[in-house]
Amino acid sequence: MVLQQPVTSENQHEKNKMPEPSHAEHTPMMQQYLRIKAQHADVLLFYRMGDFYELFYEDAERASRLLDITLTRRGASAGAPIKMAGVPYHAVDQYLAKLVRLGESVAICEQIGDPATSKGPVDRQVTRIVTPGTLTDSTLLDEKTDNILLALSRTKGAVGLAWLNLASGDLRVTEIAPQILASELRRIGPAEILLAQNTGEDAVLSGYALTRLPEWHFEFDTGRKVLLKQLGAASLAGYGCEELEPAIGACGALLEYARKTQGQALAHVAAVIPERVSEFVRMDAATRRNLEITETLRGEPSPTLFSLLDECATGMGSRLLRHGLHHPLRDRDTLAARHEAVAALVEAHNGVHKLLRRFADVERITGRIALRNARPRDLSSLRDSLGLLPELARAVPGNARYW
Amino acid sequence: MKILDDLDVPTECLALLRRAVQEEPAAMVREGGVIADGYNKELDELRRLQTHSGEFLSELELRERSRTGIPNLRVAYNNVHGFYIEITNAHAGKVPADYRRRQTLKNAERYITPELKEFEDKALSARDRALALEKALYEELLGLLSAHLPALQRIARALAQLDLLACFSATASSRNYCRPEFTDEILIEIDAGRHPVVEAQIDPFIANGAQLSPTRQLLLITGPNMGGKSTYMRQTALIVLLAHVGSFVPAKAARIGPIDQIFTRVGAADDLAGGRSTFMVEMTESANILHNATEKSLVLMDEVGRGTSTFDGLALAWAIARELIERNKSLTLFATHYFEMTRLALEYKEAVNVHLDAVEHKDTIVFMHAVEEGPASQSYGLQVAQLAGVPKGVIRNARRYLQMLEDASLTQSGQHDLFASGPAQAGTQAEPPKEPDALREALEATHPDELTPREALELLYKLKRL
Repeated sequence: MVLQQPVTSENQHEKNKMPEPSHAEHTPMMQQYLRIKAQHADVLLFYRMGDFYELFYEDAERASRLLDITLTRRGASAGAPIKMAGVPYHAVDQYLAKLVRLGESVAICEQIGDPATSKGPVDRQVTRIVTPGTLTDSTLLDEKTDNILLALSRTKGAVGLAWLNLASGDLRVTEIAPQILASELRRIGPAEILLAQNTGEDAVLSGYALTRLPEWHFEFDTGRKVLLKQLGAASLAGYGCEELEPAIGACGALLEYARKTQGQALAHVAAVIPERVSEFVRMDAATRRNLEITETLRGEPSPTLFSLLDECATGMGSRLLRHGLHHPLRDRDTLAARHEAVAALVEAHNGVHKLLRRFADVERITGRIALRNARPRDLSSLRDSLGLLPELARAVPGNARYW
Repeated sequence: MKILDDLDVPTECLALLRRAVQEEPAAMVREGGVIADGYNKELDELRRLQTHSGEFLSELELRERSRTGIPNLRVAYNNVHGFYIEITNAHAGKVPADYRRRQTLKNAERYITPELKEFEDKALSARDRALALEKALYEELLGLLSAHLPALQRIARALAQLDLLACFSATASSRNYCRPEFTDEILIEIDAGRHPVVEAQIDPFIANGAQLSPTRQLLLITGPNMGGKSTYMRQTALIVLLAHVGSFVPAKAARIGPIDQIFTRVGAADDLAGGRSTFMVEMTESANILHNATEKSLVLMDEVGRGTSTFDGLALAWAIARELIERNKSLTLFATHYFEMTRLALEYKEAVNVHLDAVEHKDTIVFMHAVEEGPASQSYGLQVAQLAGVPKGVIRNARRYLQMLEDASLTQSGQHDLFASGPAQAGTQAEPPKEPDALREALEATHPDELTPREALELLYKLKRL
């Protein structure tokens, strides 16, 4: 009887590690794979092969665990079997949705050449990177929740924040005292946080999907240039945020990251809005939790103030409600105007909502147009929605001053 | 009239969409059938080539038959050779000079003409070219639409705002909310307020008012557990919050002065993930409040001090309440189960006692959920315990023990004086009463190790009957 040599976990690990891409013994296709993978080492790489997206080596193991898909082997390259797992291309969205909910990011590598005419492996390229904070696809987004990407940059006495709603193009910056970071994060509710590699661990950040980037991405000078280019402006003075240095550094990292994940310029981000903590009735993280505004104490979505009040006819309205409940305003003129509008709509709200139910999510479609990933039916429903505007305007009573 | 202005139709953008996109486009651009007919001449032509190729071929066939006088001349197509004109060998002599031979069969020849060749090139590539052209046109269309992004963003914002306002309006009507009134004085005056979420689940819900102002700065709320203290405090905060979001509020009337912050310190579970005990969480949150609350802040304090020993807790609750009154000057709702705290109202005119009442009905208790002025008369803890199913014998014992405690505290100091007599009470009164009772005797006579499971169960029923 031959006793098998036990495989230690360390050996196991060695075996599954990504091989060097330069290895000449690899098949040409695996060389291509490893070359692309080396540029996207931190994320899962979905490598398109015909009707499947395949993952190899460590990625395959991780994905099989996270997605509960079969881990298999594909032949051998450089003398070792290749661990592999895959998902069919037509069902990719549901797998992406699951990974993103788990806080994972995925680089999508497509075949861009024509398989019929290619010699060797068909040309492939990463066309987009799906990350929790940069989603725009309607199948990956919760209809009633804004998806926010946030970058933070710490200096001695302050924390600079910049955050972007990629669907609406809304870009904001602020500078806060470190003590209120937890409550500010609760208020903003980011799906993903970007921070510099050298930023230390912080209990305040636990539970958020964190993405670490090189420190120089957060430098003020770079950030300022990136932001000015994005806005097509010569100075930040007009935006009232010139002096928010760490926030502008964070903003640079944010915009570059968002652009990279989309493989596309952010055509709809045309302004930056500095936010002052004093605009809002402040609530700390504990208060937001205790009042069960959008989440019960057990972390469930209902029954909460939001679930009770949300009778909005569109995802846009529901998202604004969720946002509003976490951003009570202190400006009483604005509030009085809203109250007046609510009163003016008492007779008309049924008719208005009935019409609004026929509207598509104009906000998110607009975002997808800007990022050049709108689908044909986005455009037809946008067209149909715009066509309804005159009827909607007639249903709104004309005797109120709206906000 | 900002919203109405923003709902203006973006005429150019809509016209472009109407011109460019099919009524019911395919889901994917790569499937084709996305760009509308009439948008692009070349695409129309390519589509015509696909749909009209049959027509062209039969027309060509007829034309060539009459030109050559060959009645069985046939125009057809196969995958290998493409389009061809087939002529049987019987008519070989009549083949015109412009025919080029393509293929020779046993009893026929197949030809092609320049005209047919041209058609073939067009038709064969028409589908591919149409798809490629649609894709390019679609990309171009997205580019053209980008010029309208600001208008579309403006419309999206207006739609969201209108939707939300109509939602607030719908809620105001269906749930009977009132329009809150803002004032520059520091105060919160709520007439018949309700908890928006709880009232939707409990019927009937008892409405309660709340009056807070610099002269009535801290409401000390006492009353039985389960009596609605937490609901009352939260509803006050939620009404203030809703008013500042632009919604109407669940009350008969509400007047609200300037509010800068809302703080809550409400009983929470242990922060297991963070590794902090309930008491540590409680004190961290309390410290945050004491450091940051201003005279414009609304502060809710629920059962502060519960997480530690009785006297520590009471002492802390007392000191925190004083700090809130004297230094923070915040508008405060302070719920407590420490009856001793009600004496705060004697010391500070800004502190006012209110209580939620309950009445004993036969042997049980009925919560009134109505907030009344003045301190609660008793804590009803024992009645609640009974309601929860604690055995009668235990309740009886507890009642006896409570009586002893109250007698002792009165005889010792003549009144409940927290700091003078508290610790002494703890020392002398910690011993439980030693008088005989049926339950204790039955238990002492029991040897758990000797019982069978069945006997144990029977004993439990017996004890319950005692």
